[in-house]
Amino acid sequence: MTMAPALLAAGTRVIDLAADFRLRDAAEWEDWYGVPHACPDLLAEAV
Amino acid sequence: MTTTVANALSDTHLTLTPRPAARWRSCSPRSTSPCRVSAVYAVPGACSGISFGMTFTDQLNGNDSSRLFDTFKVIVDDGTLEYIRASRSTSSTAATATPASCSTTCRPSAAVAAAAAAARAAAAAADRFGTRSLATRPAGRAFSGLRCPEEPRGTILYHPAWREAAPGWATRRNGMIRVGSSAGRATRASSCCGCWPAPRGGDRRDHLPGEAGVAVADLFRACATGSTCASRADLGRLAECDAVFFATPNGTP
Repeated sequence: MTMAPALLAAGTRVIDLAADFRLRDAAEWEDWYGVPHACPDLLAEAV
Repeated sequence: MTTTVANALSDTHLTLTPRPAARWRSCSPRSTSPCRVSAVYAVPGACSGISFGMTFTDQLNGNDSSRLFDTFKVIVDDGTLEYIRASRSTSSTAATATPASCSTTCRPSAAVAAAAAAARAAAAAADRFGTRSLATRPAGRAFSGLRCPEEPRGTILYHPAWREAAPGWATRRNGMIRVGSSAGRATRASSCCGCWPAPRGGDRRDHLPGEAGVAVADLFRACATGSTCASRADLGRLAECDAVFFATPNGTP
């Protein structure tokens, strides 16, 4: 998750098979996974 | 053996892929066994707190649902069916039920019900990796929730939308792509595996126990050689890739 911003900036596509970007709302993500999301701005960009 | 008319299931609830079907046909119960009914049941385990097994049981109850597959009928008790529905609504793949070995396929109805109750309790208490019960977890994007470290077998599916997310895949390097994976703290491995044929929509691979990273390595065989694996994520190496799979266990930051 912490690598996502740098990878995207480098032009690499990120495919999330886990839970890092499964939810669109950062507060909801934090509620479910117990830690703040490392790059909440990207949650809205994920497709 | 009690025989009761059961509620009918459809593809929406339960499908049977060729491999477990063939395995199950090889596990015909002995004529003297009280267990003659094929059943899918829930047990505690996996990241969500729930996993599924397949066994023979001794009776069909009024709250069971059933589906006829070719030569045999499979029943699902209502407690298990709740979790199958939940898992199908929160994952891009169906719940995976693992057939028991042929020597351990008799599971009395009471034991099936007890396992479902235990699974319910485990799911309620599960907070491993920060996840909660599949039955109550909010639905998210389709690619999430695919892999768990304790899941005995599963499938990663190349989704057609991945090609849309990486529009250069079809033409870049004559259809080859450079892929990498970030597999989290448990495996502490990252890899950037060189060129590999771009995935086709619908391609899939089964994988053995392990994290999603293991399955990704299996999908892209060049990764399996470990030639470029590192003991920790190498951002510079991953940034050279066309696509990087985040393959951590579900819920592990």
